[in-house]
Amino acid sequence: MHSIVNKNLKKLRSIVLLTTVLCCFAGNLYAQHINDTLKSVQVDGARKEHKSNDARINVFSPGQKIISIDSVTLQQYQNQSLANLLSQQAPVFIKSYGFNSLSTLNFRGSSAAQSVVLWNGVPIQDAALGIADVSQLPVLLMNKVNLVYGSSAALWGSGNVGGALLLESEQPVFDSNGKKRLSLVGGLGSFSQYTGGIKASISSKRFFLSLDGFGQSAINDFSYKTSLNTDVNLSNARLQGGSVMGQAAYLISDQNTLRLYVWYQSYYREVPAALFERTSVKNYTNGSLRLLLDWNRERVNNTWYTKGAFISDKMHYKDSLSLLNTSNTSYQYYFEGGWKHRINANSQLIVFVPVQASWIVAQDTAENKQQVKAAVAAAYDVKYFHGRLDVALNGRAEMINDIGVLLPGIDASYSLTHWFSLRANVQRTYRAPTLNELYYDPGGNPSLKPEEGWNEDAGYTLKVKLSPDISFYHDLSAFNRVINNWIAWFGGAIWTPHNIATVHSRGLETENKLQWAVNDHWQLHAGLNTSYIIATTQSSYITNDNSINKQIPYTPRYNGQLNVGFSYRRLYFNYNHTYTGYRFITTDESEYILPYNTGNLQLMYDTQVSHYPLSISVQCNNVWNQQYQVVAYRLMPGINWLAGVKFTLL
Amino acid sequence: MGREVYKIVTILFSCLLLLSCVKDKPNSPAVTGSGNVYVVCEGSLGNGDGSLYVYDSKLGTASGDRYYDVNKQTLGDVFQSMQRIGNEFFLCVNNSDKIVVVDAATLQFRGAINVPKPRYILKISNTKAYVSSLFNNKVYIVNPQSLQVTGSIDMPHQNTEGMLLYNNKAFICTWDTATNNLYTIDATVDKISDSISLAGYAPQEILLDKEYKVWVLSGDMHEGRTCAFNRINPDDDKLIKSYIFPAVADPVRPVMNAAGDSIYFIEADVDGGTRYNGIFRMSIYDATLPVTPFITAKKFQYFWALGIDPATGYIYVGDPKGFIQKGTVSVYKPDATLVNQFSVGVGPGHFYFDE
Repeated sequence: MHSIVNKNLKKLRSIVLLTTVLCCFAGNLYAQHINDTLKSVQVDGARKEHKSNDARINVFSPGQKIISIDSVTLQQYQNQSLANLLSQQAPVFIKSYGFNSLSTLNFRGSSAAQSVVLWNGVPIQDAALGIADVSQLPVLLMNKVNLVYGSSAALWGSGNVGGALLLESEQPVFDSNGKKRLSLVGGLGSFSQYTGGIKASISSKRFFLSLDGFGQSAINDFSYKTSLNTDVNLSNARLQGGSVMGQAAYLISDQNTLRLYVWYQSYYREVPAALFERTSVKNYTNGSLRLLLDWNRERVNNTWYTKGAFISDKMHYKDSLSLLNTSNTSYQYYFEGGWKHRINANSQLIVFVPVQASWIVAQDTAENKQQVKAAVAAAYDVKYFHGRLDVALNGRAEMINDIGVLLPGIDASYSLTHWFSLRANVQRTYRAPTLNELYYDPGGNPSLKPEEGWNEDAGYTLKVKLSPDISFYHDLSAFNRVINNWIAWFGGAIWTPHNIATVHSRGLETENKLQWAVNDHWQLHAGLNTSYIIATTQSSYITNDNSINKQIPYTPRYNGQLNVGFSYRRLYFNYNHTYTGYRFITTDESEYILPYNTGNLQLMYDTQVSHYPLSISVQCNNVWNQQYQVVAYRLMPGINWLAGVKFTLL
Repeated sequence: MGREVYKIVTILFSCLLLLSCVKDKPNSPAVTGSGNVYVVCEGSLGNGDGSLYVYDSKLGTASGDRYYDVNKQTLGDVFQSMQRIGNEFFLCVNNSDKIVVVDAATLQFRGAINVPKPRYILKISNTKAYVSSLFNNKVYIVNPQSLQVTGSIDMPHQNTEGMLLYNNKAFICTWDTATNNLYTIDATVDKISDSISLAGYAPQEILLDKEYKVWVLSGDMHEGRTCAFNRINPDDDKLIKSYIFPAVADPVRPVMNAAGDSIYFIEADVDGGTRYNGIFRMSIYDATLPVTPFITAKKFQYFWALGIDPATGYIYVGDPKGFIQKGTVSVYKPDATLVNQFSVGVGPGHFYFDE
């Protein structure tokens, strides 16, 4: 064994040398990391690697960086939102306007509207705003969570500039024995946080029915120190919400499956006063209905599918102090039909036609504003050298109302050895202006052009076994992206979006993991993810613009996450530490928010009660009791607790 | 083997540190100074970054944020206006619902008056001032000495805005698209005494010319209310003349020159165009509105602050640069020759010339 270790260590030395050389050449790049160190835990049996059911990830993105959130992490955060999970465990900046408040994605220096969120392949960003509030996406309802880094607009469509968050529901399982499943989850925590959920399903030889639900409430009255150093309890911060997702699937034949999903959620939120406000009575209620009908036919070498979805998002915002009482509803129909064909053992082809029609109805005039996107997209994947080289070509021709766009791309990976592989990705990308950007009254700008540009990224992965018990994983990604016609909102009393600038984003991300199975009972893990992002304005139409070569707002240059922990028999422990660097709030770097660290403890224990599996989790967030802000003047809580249980009855 | 792993991790960390070629900590040099021209920088709504800059017109140098420099705390969100009353400045911080009171000589914090959405403060006497308030149908009465709200006057419409005192009669604009009335208040008894019908809706700002006639700018272009200048005789509350702007023009910030015979104002095009965009000037005797800007704004540029130094007649123009970065102030001679340019805080909105 000693010789094996030595041999592997020699190999590692060469790897580290190679890494060092590559890093030295990387220059101004960015680093990021994922926290996927939570492995090999005896929770729900062995840990499963989460892969997508979407062929666009599995087959046609060999050169893209994709991170799958593992099952242990999903279980840890089952009483929380995706915003909490991603902010602590994934290398993406979550711009949170406060505890349990609106949270949006920022991939690699992109804006919220430049990050797409897809549920079972259907874009679910609000059609008017073009953003998704990830604080309203309960982890419990998701079976698979994948993050795709970098642009791949050919595959994922408009808005996929920085990256994509892909969510997938449970796949139906048909069982002639009438398999049933029922589990209940519940949680309580600081600031009167209560959560509850259910996951239930029943299946037969032909049918599968499932119902998942999640509800939560919180008062969020945590205390904080004012600028005068007095302790004050936060007020007007109440949260109440719930989400229900039902699925009915029918196995028409061995190759044909029909699925219907119904997902409804409603949230009521109060918006607490920012630090510069004396009081706040703001609140908003939003409700989303998402219907999805999906048909899938799989043969040996051919798969056909169609999916049709209807989504409506309604928001009612009230602020009696500002005489605001607005209600907006956006709608979208989404249709996609596709065909995947295995040409031979080494090549596959997919062709699909996505059509999306979205519209809003103006509150005052009842005027209907709409946007229609229709595209033909195709991707071809081919493998050479016994699969060591994997190349995918993809392209998309899209019409957005009357504007045509052609989006080509190519990505590839190459396994130099069984422990070291390289990858690269070049894609053209674009983002069509949202309905709000075009038509919001007052301030909408109907003459906006799409943001467009090119994205290049490359990286390598090495996976080595230092010994039979110790494994080491290291991944490095570098990216470069230039986006023209970058849309920025201008204004004081009236805000108006303009195609104002060219923004150059580049960076370097690393993901590092070390795992050691000490013996049959003890397993240790450590992980470090780092990111370094430079996203600067390259040119601008503004007179005497001082933003040239300056970092764009709310894009931390440095970001890092550390996980250290162990599992012992049925006990799992993890310490998670996050660091987020300076965030500028103006385009000329003249105003900024200080960096912050958070430490979070996570504990899980599995046991049985009368033969029924019971999982207990305790999480202590912000253990160092830091007072920090993610967004300027929006408060985040100090140390806080959240305990949860999952009881599996069937 | 543990040492080997340690080395590996150390090397990897070192690699990452080597990559840290851009310093994360920003440079934020403090600039201190004094002067007699105060630049009221609104900040960007919701960012809490209102600031106070000071310009020394003799030296041609600007400094700020002077409020933060002196008091080590931020001013608040949307710093709308300032006014000297006695030996103190009263700073209306609109979205922070307060009027911050500072010593006029040192800018040291003296206290704060909690008033909902304050816009402007009008001195009535040493012990009384009126405060207009956005989203409210009230004029608040405050005592500038005790720093207390002592009462309020209910108005028929929302958004009390520009105010002017003339012969103990306060003229009050209610910037509400539902009204075309200008109201007067008897400042002795704090009650509405009259209303004056205007040529346009949504009265916003108010000035007095050298002939002691009142000029009211009304309108809200974005809400479909065409803007207009209304000239009023304050002695009999009659409308003398009105000037109607084109429907697409959005005039703001009218100011009178020291002689009181010319009005300067901004037309702002927030859509990025150049038409109806710049600084305009008209005589109080002109029969029509000016059509050509005195100082032209460029594409994607519009101005948001305008002031005329009563001592020199120099024209101060503030460019907010979209409220997403620090603004710029340009100083012009009366003949529009550029004299100086300097950087200020986010969203320069008003100038205050302390005499």
